[in-house]
Amino acid sequence: MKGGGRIAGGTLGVALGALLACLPPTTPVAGTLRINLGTEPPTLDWTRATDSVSITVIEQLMRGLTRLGPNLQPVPALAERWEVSDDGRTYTFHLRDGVRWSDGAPLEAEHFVYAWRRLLDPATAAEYAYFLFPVKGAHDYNSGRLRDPEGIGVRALDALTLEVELERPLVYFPSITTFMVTFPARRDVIETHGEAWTEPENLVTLGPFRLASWEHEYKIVLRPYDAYFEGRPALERIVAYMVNEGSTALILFEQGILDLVRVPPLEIRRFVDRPGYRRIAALRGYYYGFNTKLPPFDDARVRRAFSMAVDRSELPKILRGGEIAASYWIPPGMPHFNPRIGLSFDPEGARRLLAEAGVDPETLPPVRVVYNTDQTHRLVAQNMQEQWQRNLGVRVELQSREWKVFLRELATQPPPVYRLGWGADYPDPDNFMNLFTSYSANNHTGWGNPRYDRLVEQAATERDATVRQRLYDEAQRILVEGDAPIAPLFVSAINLLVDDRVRNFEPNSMDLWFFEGVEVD
Amino acid sequence: MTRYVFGRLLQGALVLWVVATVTFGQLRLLPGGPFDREKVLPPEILRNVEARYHLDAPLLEQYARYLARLAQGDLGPSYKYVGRDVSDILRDALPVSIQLGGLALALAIGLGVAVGLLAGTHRGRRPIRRRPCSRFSGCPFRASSWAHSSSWHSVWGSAGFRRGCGRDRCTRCSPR
Repeated sequence: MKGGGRIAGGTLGVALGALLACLPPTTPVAGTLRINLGTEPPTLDWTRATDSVSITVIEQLMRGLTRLGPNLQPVPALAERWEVSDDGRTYTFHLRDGVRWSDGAPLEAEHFVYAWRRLLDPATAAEYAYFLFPVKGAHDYNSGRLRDPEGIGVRALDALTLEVELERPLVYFPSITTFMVTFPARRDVIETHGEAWTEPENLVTLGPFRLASWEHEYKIVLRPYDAYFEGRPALERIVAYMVNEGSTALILFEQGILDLVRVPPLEIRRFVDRPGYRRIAALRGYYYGFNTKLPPFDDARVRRAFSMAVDRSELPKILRGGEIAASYWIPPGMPHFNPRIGLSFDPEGARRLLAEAGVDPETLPPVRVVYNTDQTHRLVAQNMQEQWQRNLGVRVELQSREWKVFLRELATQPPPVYRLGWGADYPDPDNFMNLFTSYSANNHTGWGNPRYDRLVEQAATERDATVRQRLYDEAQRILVEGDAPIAPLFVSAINLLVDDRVRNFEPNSMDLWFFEGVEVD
Repeated sequence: MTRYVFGRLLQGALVLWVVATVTFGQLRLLPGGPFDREKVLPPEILRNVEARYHLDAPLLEQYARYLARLAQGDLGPSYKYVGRDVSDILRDALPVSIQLGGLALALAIGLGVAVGLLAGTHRGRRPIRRRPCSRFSGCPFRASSWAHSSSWHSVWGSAGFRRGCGRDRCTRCSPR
């Protein structure tokens, strides 16, 4: 009997030993930053990448003509300066002299011409090709109407001068050139290695870090690029793991195995009081859209009533992820943000509007609200249901859908009321406002207002900031106060945990991570 | 005997063909496409993307292309990981999954036998619950979901983490 116990104990010991042997080393090393990417980056080909994980890595490896400065204004990067022609249609970028790629080759304007043509080439099938549609001929070339890439308005005037001709003047063009799909690329590298050009042994970059190794679906290691044009970064190494369970990443942070992680929404309250906890408002809006083709939402008064019947301050209390209640659409942190815009909570006024529109809450069939299956969206929907029932007396029916089913439904038969969000691609209000032009593929409301379209188009070309503010204010008033095809609800927040050994890390509202100035003790 | 072997092989091929066809059909019947995005793609870009993956071809042609590729052991390109083939991804991931599964199995057998022995040697005395045994049996995912709900979480998370338990496959399969 005793022998049996010993065998059992021994077996148990062996099993536990095997487990412990699998633990990663937990001692932090000075100069090494360990972050969690969440998943494998779908690609490091910056021309074809679209997602936030790829951006996180690419932002360390590459630079564009411009980059985002401290308050998200575009500042010089590979271009040391640029000029705009009087008609606002031609940008001339002067490249920094002496910038070298990691294989020693000098940066040339031709690398931009190649990269932009590649982005727009229909055969590349880049999803974000439309970022350069403002460039002359770009849209035609991408859709096959123009065959000759020479017809695209981008030219190398000499080795260090790039001229860009736009279809129409665009004041925020230098914001677009901060985005990865506009970064330069090397024809020789891509043509030599084909699809494998982004593997560590082939990849040639010029940003603050270079790709040292990439073990697919495990980790990426970055090392500083000694010849980086703004000076070698302080870090010796960035190890980017791919732990896709948010809660597992949190545990690894607590064990000192990761230095920087995102906090999943439902875990936030556990970490709010920790010293390493950081929160910043994101350029990401959350709204409910109305299908303006379906009664009763074909009447603007009904839409306004539904928007006015929501006390938005309840939402941050339920979600507790640092959300900011919002009835405006251009989020704080974006130029031309105006907090005074939006319908305020007024249940009485809302009921009056509903009566004016001839809608009797008693006889109105249940209003169908559709959202995609997710804890946060469910909490929001339940609150909206409760508020609309309480403040308007209408009945509300909630339906959740699997993500792809939801997207298909939005594209084909938008439900009477649906939830959606929008995160900024570039920090300019145009990115938020052109969403609801009558011709935007992302406008599922069926609503269109020529005045709104004109205001948004005009604001995109307006160089005077005061005039631009006025244009956006009027457009926003149409969007969220007058016609009200959407009811903005809140602006999301970014929640991070940063180890206290990490210094000089500044999160920004675009949720882009920059590590060139970061140090780790 | 030869006839029997040939018969079985033929049956196997038939089953493979049926499975492949059903998979193909299901993927096309399910709502949503691989390029449906929250940020809707402009129609001309969607056309470019679909052309690149031959999704604009007639269904029959897509089916023929798919079967022809499968017959050569080519599982096609990934729609998510740009420029990578499904076979590449499997080649990278399979050894890790085998290692993880093997480890979980070893642990399950180790713990199971140990607890079983203890239960045997203590028969008729203090009762020992057998539940951990049955919870561990067979499936590593079950073990990991048990670990999730217990203090073992961190240890398990780390063990998986070292060799990529953060990966899609694991978490997608785990019953939660």
